[in-house]
Amino acid sequence: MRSSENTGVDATSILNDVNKKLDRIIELLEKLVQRVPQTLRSVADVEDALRTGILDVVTLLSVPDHLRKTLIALAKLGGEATSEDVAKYTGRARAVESAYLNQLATLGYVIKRRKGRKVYFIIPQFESYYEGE
Amino acid sequence: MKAVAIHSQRGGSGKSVLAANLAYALAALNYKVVLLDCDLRAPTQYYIFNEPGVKHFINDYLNGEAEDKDVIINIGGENIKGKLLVVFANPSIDAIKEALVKDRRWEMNALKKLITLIKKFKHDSIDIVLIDTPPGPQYSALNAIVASDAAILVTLPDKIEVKGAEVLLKEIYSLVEIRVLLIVNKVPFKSREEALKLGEWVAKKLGNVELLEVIPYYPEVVLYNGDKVMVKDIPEHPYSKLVLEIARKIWTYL
Repeated sequence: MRSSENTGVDATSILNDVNKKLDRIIELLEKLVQRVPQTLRSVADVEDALRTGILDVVTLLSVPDHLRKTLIALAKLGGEATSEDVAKYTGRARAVESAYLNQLATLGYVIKRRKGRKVYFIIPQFESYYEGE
Repeated sequence: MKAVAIHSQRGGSGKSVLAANLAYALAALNYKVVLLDCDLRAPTQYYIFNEPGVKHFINDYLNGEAEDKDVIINIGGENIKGKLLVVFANPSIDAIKEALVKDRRWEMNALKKLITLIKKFKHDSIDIVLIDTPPGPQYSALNAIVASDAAILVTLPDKIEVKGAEVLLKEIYSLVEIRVLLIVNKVPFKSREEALKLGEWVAKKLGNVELLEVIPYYPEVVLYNGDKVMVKDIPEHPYSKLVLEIARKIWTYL
């Protein structure tokens, strides 16, 4: 009897814990659901930008967090720079910027072009404007 | 050189008048200053400066119809010890109508041209570029914010304005990761202590901002707007003194 009472107390405690964890999971899921439209909009903006070739400010702001700073820095540097130039601008390590610029190239936001010994990353939409300089 | 966007959540915060006065104050303190009016849908600087003979506007430059040198107007004045260059937005109704229907491709080009113009000023040894932006999250405002190194957020001390500013901070400024300096304008207290207390409340409510200044509401600023630039024409007025103070201390934040 004493044993089953103990078991009952333990079971209630365990159920309370499970309940709390379920509440937390529901809370996190609700937050996630709230972010879905925003995420879908971001994805749509990015897809639209790649389809139309328009890299406007709304698209810049839709880029994932870690890449946004790199892409904005590249834009501010005139749309063409090396990973070293970008690193100087952002204050992050050159290797980090190199990795992010390569990710941006894989995603189609920037193109890579070798000039002598240096590799330049270029925002293609900015290029035509700077060709005349 | 630093580029600073002067932005607000809604119209009527006193942002454009402050931008003009701050540009003048900085030039009076021996800095080389450029003021760009990027509010193409509600141009103001043209009326504040009353500069005769302006033929080309920032609209023409952004449209690719004028060179940068054609749109830059050198503002003279005996109190200007540095340099004050202004690029006006076209106040004609046709230009405003045209600005209302610009598409994303145009805005993308406008961002490129704005960044190019700022780079040119850096090359020309300008000390600071102030960009008078449209209020809220409009395209041209976002372009100016992305092209800038810091933003001055001008806000009224009312709760609606503060709530809107909270959204700007969360949805825009945090994405761009630039420094946001807060000016609480038209505060309904003349007492410095009370005004500062209210300004600090707004800054705390917003978070992630640095309180640059708190400016009381002065009816003279409204009454003389369009006839006089306060810092230039009434330098002894408390508004002018506060703007001069901002011009002195802004450098510690940039």
